[in-house]
Amino acid sequence: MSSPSFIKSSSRDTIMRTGINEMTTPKDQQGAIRLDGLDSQAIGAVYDQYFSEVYRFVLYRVGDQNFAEDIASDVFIRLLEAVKNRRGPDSNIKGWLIGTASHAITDHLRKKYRRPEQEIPESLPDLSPGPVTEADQREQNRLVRGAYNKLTAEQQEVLALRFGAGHSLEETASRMKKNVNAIKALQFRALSALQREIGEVDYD
Amino acid sequence: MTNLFDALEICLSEIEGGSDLETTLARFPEHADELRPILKTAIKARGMASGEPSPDVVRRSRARVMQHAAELRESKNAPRQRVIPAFSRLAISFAMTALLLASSAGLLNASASALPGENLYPVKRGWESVRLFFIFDPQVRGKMEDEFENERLHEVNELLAEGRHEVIQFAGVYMQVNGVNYVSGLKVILPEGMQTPSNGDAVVVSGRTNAQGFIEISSIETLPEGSVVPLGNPIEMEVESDSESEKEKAPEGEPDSGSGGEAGASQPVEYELKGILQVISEKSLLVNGMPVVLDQTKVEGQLCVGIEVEVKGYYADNGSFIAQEVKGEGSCSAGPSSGGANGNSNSGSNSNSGSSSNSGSNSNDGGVNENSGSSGGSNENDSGGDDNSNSDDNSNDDGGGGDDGGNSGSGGGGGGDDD
Repeated sequence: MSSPSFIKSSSRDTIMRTGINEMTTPKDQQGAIRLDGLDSQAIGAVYDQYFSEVYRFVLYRVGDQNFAEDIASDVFIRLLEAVKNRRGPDSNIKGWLIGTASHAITDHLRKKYRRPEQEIPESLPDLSPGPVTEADQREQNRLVRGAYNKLTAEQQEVLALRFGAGHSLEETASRMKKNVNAIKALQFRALSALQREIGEVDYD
Repeated sequence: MTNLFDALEICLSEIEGGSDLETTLARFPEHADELRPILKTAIKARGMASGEPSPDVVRRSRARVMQHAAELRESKNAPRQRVIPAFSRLAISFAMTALLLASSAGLLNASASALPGENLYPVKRGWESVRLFFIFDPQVRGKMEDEFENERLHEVNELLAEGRHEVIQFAGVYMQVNGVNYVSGLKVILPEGMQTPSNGDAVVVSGRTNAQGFIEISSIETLPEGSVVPLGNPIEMEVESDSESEKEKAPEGEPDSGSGGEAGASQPVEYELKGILQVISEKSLLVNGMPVVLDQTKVEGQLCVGIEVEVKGYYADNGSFIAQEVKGEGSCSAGPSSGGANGNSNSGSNSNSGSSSNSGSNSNDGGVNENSGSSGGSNENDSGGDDNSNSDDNSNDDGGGGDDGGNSGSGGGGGGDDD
């Protein structure tokens, strides 16, 4: 990854060489600089740019809107704390946010597993309230959610990044600190596992 | 040949781009059977993703984040507070309070004698305002306000005494005496054309002190009747003019004043005095009980005790009234008390001389008489006066002239002359 001490052109060259589509890096750097003073305008701009992505990623992982809202908000508050303590992201705010979100989700899920009785899968269909035709979609989502929760954390992560946050293969690779081919294999195995889970549920 | 993982990625991208599942699979016939269930699952998995967060969620969350940012900003601006333990903080605030009290008390003491234009003067005025602010009893408040107004007048006095030029403002009583304007006993100069208040009005004046002991007024404002203002010291002129029944007049009614050439320019204020002439001496008169000094005085008409006189003159620095012009009104013969004292012939009867001997001052009568309508006998007195070497006064000469041997030995010489 590009070091913050690099000037813009060289950091962009680095991005090109590694084949990562990271055009937002220069903007991120600017954002980091402006965030230093905890200027409300800069914080607002960062929030507006990244909140949706973080939220969708978290929601995909946890499957609950209320938890997703809390966790996504916490991620941005952690960003503020980090900037204040000079431990904020040097260059890549988006990567920092998703990584922090991933940790927060892990913490959240750990708590949730301690008290599994709070898990109410039936509440999941509320995710997408809509016309009558979506009743099937809701039921299917419930099934997929059940299967998804049985995947490994890494498999869940890669699907959340690809389908939830809408990351590209390259972005996903950089988030998960793996190379592109490893991600390709990982998402293949994740989908295969999911298909098996759904299939089992179906046949049950 | 594309491997299975790459084929999946390509298919995912194409489906995401809007391609049909079977169309995409047709590109990889060798993997189609294996990829079909996985891609179907992928479509389901993608369907599980929600769309954009609802506006409510975004707004709530945003507010939370921004509020946290504001809190962090505040704590960042005051980062040292946490460094100081609670006990030290208490001690520090005690010390600060004590220091503040001590220094402010000293400052106020120092400012108490400040005059306008000095550095501490605003402190003095500010402290006065503070004191007034905390007093709600109207009586006490009014008393304090009077005190402060007196202080203003005192400050102006100090400034005038030091001959300093300062901008001042104070309240007082306006008086015009003999063409000179005063406010609470301080001489003021009104600009040309300014409307003057009436005597006795309470006024607030703004202006400057000057080195000549005057206040040059820039604005004067009349206060409503009943306003309490400091009176200041009484005007000196008033004290002297207190003599009974004496009339003061402004100088403009005096076309004759020029004729008294000796009236110095340094004595601009001229008074006119009318009254009964009580006593006449060579160098002074007594008019209505008031002594009038004769000094190169122009005399009109005859003067004798009991007549009415009109005196024009001025006050000298030592407070005595110097007559420039004395005018006797009415004739002396009409005067009952003077009798024939001023008769032209000195060879009057003994009774005459007897009347003149009533008091020591009678001799003065003769002196004045001699001045006005002198008899020839006086000259003879001079020659005969050799005997009267005891004195060169007119009185003695007079006595010699008046007493035809009727007097003591001193008059003997005189008598001889007559013979």
